[in-house]
Amino acid sequence: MIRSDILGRLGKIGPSGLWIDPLLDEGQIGEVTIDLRLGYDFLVSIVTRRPFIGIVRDDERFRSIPSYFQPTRRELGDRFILYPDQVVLATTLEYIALPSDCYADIFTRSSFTRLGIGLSTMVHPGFRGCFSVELFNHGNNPIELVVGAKMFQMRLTKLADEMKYGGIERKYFGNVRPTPSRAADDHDLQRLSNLSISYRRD
Amino acid sequence: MHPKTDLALLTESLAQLAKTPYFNRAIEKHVQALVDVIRHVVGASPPYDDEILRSFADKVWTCHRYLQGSTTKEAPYEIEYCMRHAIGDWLPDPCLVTTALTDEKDFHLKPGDPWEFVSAALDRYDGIVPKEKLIFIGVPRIYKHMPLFCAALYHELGHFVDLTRNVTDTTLLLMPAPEGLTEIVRNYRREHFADLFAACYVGSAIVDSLDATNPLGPRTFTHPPTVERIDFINGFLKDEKLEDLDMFQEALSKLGLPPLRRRFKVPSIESAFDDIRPHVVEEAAELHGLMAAGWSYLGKIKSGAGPHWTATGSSLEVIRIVNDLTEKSIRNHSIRHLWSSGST
Repeated sequence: MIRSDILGRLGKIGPSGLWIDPLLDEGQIGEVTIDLRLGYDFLVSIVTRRPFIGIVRDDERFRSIPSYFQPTRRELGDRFILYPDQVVLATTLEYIALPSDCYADIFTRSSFTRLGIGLSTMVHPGFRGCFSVELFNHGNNPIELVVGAKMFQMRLTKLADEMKYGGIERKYFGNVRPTPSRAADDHDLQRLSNLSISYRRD
Repeated sequence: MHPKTDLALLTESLAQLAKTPYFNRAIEKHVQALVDVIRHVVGASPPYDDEILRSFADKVWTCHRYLQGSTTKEAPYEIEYCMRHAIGDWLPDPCLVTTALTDEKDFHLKPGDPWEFVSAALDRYDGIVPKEKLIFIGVPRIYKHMPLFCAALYHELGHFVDLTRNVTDTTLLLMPAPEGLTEIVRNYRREHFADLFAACYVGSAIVDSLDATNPLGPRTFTHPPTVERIDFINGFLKDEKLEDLDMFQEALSKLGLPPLRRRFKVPSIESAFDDIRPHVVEEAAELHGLMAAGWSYLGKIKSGAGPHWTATGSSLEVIRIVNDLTEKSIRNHSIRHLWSSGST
């Protein structure tokens, strides 16, 4: 989607509307992308006594995934250090309501990719919330980030048809702060665990 | 323990806090000033009287508790932001608001300033004393992301204004209590004043909040019955002529304080919240008004008249999303405000 299409939908209510708040600077709307800013809530991964994060609940040593992360908050303009090899969950500063006929790809802006921070994620049409961003520093040096800095860019792709997506039954819908992985909520895991047990039995 | 030992331990902890990265600079100034004055007290020769040390150590303990709360960076900035707006209407001095998350069901708001004590009791201290007043807020940890459930803080702010400006005590001079009943009348007037004060900011949300937390609250030595409190608040919100309201207004006028009046504007949040989007707050009055709007929105959902998305989730999930949308509405207003102030 190009700038004129984006501007045509921006601020409009309804299925085809695109809603972004706060949009602090109209310059965030580029020719083919929209710049998004780093939010103020973080979940920082911590090392625990458990040797790994398990995602199967019936494992007797299963420990809830949020317990591997520590929340911390900042104010606009505050700093946040992203250490090498550390997973940090954050969000965009902006709360976004996507049109029901567009999906979004989110990337780090190239200036941040060149520092060693990579992000590539896809968000479904009709999504509402602050986008979850999983920050990982691939470099050797800690990087100082600034809350509110334009770190990400969103590219919108229009679908031929509208999609019905949404409702709070969707994972991460309506998020305003980072949410730990809900990998353990995947119903397939129970079936796969049962298979594993039956293999061992046979 | 011995106050001097406590003070030495508290200095260590405060000095560590001051070195914590990302610490708010204004609070950092307070911490450093506190460390300086404690060092003066601990090293003073001849030593200060034990009673002075004990009282001072108690004040430092309290400060430490809240200052530490603010460094954990779990602070509910959005609630603090609303409180700062309300405090600014009543206290002309610059204030620093800091929050402790409590494990009990306990909301409070109290002056935490040790500096008055320092000036009065530590007569040999000639260091710099910060100008800002420290105000401590207590919010139950489980409500840290539930701003709608923190409407009670406006009631606590009412107590704070009352105690710092002697509003109730002034009413006792204007309209004395019957003999032998002064204490109970004072307690009741304090509660009624705090209720009216809260109603000035959050309107009917304070009634909803009272109704949710203690609907059958009986008459006690310290509190009038909930029913009586709600009647009084509703009377105020309906602009009825109330004798006790006139009494409070007269006391406020004599103290040079603003009158009790509506300071909120209830925003229309339906179109945004029905679409799971935050409301774009236009002015400070809407910040406070979000409380009434949010409570009324929750009431609509409870009665089964909520939007379609509320039908698919659990009650807790729905309550959480309404609170999240409220929190984000407040935070976005604060961000826009900060952003525009950064350009100057």
